Amino acid sequence: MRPEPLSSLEITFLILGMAIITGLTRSFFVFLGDRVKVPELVLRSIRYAPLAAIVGILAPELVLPPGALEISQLDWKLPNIWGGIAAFGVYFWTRQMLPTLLVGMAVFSLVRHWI
Amino acid sequence: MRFNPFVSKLPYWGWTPLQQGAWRDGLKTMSTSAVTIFSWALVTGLAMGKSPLSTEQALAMSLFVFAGTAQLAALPLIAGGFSIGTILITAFVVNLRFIIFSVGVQAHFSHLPYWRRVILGYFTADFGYLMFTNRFTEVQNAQERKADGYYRSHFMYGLACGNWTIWQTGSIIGILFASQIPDSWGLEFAGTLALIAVIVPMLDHRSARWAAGAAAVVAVLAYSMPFKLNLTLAIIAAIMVGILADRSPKGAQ
Repeated sequence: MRPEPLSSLEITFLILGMAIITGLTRSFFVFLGDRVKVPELVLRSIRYAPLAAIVGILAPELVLPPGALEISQLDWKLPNIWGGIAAFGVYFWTRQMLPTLLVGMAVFSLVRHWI
Repeated sequence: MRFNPFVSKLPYWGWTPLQQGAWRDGLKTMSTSAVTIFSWALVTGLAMGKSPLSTEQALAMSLFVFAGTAQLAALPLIAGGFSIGTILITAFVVNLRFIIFSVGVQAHFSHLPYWRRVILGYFTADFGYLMFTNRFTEVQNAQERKADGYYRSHFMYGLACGNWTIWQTGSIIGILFASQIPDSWGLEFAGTLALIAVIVPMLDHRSARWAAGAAAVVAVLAYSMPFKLNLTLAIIAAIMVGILADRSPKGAQ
């Protein structure tokens, strides 16, 4: 069963909420001022949390087919994996977005149509 | 330019030549990274244009949210039917780095009025913050600021204006261009590719690589858990593994 898509009202709230989060995080210590000291453990956690969230979103996107419900559907012929590996390599060497996009999409399309 | 009482109240036209010069300096400094910002924005726009969002929704997200990584992270979650609450928490977590930036915004601009600081914070994204702190590492006190002929605040406004304009141009072109590309090309994958590029520079030390590995394994193994808890578990696991790897003898290399 595919999950229910968000309604357009929900999307509106989501966009508003994300805009507020942009302002809240970018002005966090403007709001707090100098009164509050953040504990060392929290600052350490902050270093890994964004990386973890992005990897947590990416990993299933790369190794599971769209709409998969369980890990038994893990499939090495999936074009996402190979496109992803190619993009990782290109960005690692060039640090540039457009070549990364072009090579990633090219490998993704090749695997999708010929394997 | 000070003859007209209305014009003299506007930003830029109402400023002194020194302030105007600092603003243009900021704009010029930001334009040195125009190609990089533009290409990231273009790819983010393409991914938004090919997502379940309508063109209007994608444009609104680009204009108001103005946080590319959080937008890219939200797209697969919107497509995957995650709840608004989960997507908002994820956007917050992805934006945590800005909290660290905000320490700098507060320290450098504590002399500005409160609301101006809040608005400046909203418009201070990665490029603006890094360019400002690269140029001005030390915070000025009130006397140093008076003695200095250079307006750092107006330099920062210039950076922000440049960053916003370049980003929105690329993003809007991407959103509008995406509708001209057939769905069969699978271009929604562009968002995934951009997120891969986001994480590459973060993997520059050992404990970050351990944390990323933990997040990937947990997110996939726990994929079938109810309420899409896999993402939350992946974040918790990665933080724990990251801190443990930091503490091990070989840590932080």
